[in-house]
Amino acid sequence: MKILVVEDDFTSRLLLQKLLAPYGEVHIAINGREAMAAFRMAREESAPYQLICLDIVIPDLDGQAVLQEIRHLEEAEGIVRGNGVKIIMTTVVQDPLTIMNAFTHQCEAYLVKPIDKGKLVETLHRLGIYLPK
Amino acid sequence: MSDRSEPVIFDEFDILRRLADDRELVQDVLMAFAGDIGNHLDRMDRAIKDRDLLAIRRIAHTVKGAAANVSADALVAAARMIEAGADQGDWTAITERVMALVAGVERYREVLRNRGWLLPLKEST
Repeated sequence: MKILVVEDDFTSRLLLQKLLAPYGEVHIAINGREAMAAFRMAREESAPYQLICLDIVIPDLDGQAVLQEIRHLEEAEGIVRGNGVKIIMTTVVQDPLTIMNAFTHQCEAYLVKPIDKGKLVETLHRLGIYLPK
Repeated sequence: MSDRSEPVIFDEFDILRRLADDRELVQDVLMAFAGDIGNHLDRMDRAIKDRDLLAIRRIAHTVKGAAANVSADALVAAARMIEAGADQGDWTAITERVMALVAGVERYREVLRNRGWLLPLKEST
């Protein structure tokens, strides 16, 4: 499985990278533009990401904009709602409007920092993502 | 009697619980934070010199998330106060709160060293 972690902070990036490494190949983007470049490149190489952990307040293009752009690209490619890349928002932002916007733009889950391994694993299971055998 | 509402400097129980008692992972994350937080503080210093409220708010927000991940409750609170100061454009508050954040980072590192999560500082000769 290919995973993209989009995080501008080194500590948060390292934590997610280490927690997700047992599930597959983890790539890193440190801002929204890098995230979009990685997403597009992976699709062009026919090796798309299956999971994206996406921070919201990141430089260049924020996480909500990245989420919208990814869903627009998927829609343009004929990918049906729910069949695209699984996106978990991982952020310290917890106001109801931001959370509602993220789900409106079709994120699959929303995890508020601090990251809790148990909650992350529970979320992955809910999305049908398990440790490889 | 201590003020129970005051955030703790380092909640060791919380980070061990959140990371399923994986002490190696906890150590890696704590060392990463202790090593990287200085970069955020340098960026904050530059943003203050540039009078860039947006950058100050963004850096404070990043610090808040990082500090939450390493159970540095007092630093989360300090970063939140800086965000609020930036929202209000209150330069006096921002300056005071950034100084409090810098002092809080030193206290945090000291607590980590005292609890064996970071190597002790070498004594100068």
